[in-house]
Amino acid sequence: MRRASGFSLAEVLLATLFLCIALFGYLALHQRLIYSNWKIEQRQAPREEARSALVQRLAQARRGEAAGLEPVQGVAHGLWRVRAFTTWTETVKGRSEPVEKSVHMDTFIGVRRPGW
Amino acid sequence: MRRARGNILVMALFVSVFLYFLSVALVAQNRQDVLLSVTREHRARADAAARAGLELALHVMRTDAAWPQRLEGAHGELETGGAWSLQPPAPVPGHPNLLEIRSEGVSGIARVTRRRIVEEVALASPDCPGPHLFALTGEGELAMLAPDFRWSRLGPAPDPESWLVASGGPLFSHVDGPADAPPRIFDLTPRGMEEVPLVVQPSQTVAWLDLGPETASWKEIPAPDQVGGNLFRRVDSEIEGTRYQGPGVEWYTLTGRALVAQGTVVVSHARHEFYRGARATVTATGYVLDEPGRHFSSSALLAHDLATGDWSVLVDLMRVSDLQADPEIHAGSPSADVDTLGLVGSQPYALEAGNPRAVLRGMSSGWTLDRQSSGLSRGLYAYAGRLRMHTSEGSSDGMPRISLSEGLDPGRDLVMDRPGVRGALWDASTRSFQERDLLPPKRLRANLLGDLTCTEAFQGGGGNDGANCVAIQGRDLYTFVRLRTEYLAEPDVEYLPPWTEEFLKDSARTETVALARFDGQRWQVWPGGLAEFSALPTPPHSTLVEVGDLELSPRSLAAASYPEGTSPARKRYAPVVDL
Repeated sequence: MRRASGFSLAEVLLATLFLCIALFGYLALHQRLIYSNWKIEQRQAPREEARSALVQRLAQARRGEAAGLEPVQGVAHGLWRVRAFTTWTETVKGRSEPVEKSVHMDTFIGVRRPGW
Repeated sequence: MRRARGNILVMALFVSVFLYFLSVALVAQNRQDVLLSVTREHRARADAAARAGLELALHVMRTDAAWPQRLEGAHGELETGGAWSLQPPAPVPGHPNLLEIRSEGVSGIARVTRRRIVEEVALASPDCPGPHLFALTGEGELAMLAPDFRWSRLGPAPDPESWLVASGGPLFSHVDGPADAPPRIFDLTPRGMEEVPLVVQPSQTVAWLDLGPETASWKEIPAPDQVGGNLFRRVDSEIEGTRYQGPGVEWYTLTGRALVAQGTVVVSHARHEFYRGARATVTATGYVLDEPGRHFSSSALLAHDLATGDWSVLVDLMRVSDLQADPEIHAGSPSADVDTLGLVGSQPYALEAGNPRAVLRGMSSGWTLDRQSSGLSRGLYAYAGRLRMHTSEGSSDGMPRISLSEGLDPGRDLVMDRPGVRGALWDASTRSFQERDLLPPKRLRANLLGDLTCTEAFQGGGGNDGANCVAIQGRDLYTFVRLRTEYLAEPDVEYLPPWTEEFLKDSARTETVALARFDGQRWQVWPGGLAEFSALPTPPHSTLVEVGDLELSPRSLAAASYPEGTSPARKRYAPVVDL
């Protein structure tokens, strides 16, 4: 009767095996997700900075202060391409050296003559 | 017991399943984070692409008259990713001169639509030929706005103090400096036979601008007092028996006081001069002066047609039927000089000098009082076949006028309430973009600048009352307007510095002077459209209009027609607001 009230070793081991598989799987996944989120955060700021830089370049172009604008091909003179980019370094698993990454963005702006 | 033994397995399986779902949830959350991150980048690229589409559309509209065809289904891609596509610009309901450009940018899964309201600015109504607008700069130079919407300088004006007049024809102006001296008359005086000293006002000449594709030159019109002209008459002195009859000379001189044009015909205020020679008896010892020679002078109105090259008399208070007899002076009509002229068809009207409330109607025998205005008149204009007065105060007795309170109010048809502008600002604390109100809503008010400027210039007098600040060609009326902009503070909106509520209440009012066109139904301010006004504030009492590097004086404005020297008409497009 006493035997009937407990668990067999096999049952305990089997249950422990299930729990370990689930727990270790979850922990591995969680570690992966933490790394992924860190990477997302690491890349988020440069992307926003690229967009911010583009907005600033547009404002400079409107004021006639932006240098190095390229004319847009295929249309009459007066439409310019504005570029902006940011770079950052990122550590990658399996590589000792940090890797350089960049985000490039561009758009157009028409520079008006005074009065128009 | 078997049930108790099975419980641990069930619990283990349950915990495992729970952990599995927890993992799935975490993965899903992570996917959302990844997606959000990637989407924000795509959104930025899509926004840049949409912006590029808008800029390209506006650029094509400004540079290519065939933009409707070019923008039909236009699309493209940016070098760094993101594609844009355009919808054909469509009129904004209720505002026929406003167009909405819609550009859609796509990058990855992100789509961004940008809209821009632009104002289509035309130099003339669609069925009217594009005029050449002329004005004077602050330095007295002649400035011209061609139908291609380009201002150019044409050198010094013939007379910076005179009017520029035109309506459907070439540009006319008085020429600075007196014209030829009056005719020399030798007659018998109490001192004997000598040249009679005549006291006459200095005469002026009129010139017209000959404008070709590459050249512009002023050509003087032969003065009516020129010997040999069709209005110059003369009989020499003669002796019949013992009767001496002095010479009779009749001529007209232009006063430079008032000028108006219609097509190739220019009408100028003039004076009719007549010298009736002395009468004497011839005796053995010489002449016995019976009646000295006499000089008559009266107000007149002359017209010159470039097509025929002749002067004709429109209004004349003095009729000379016999050059050797006293003239017939018409009595009962105002004989004072006139300051301002208006032509309705071929019917001349004028404002009496010194009494700008009196509107005179010209007849061949003189001026008659047509109506008495209760308001102070600044100018007379023929518009839409009716005579209109340019007044600055009071009301006129049934006469249409160009003023603030009547049907031609420029403020009626302008985009009065300009919507506010929202945009994204980089917030350094949160390192992200925040959508904020960048520009509060703005309200525009306008009034005719002519009222103010003419008041000042009128006091100067000098034969130029400065009222010639309205130009008319066909059903297009051009004048200067003063625009006052003020910002509206919305109660529930937090404004960014410097757009504080105090600023909006106290100092966010700017005034700008600009050219405007009225096409019979609505006003349009140009060049530059509405968006430029906030960038070109001028002092409240400035009388100069900045147009590029030109500073125009709103004192005089004329719309001339030069079909042969015309460059292709263009329309302009100015952004009003980005939405």
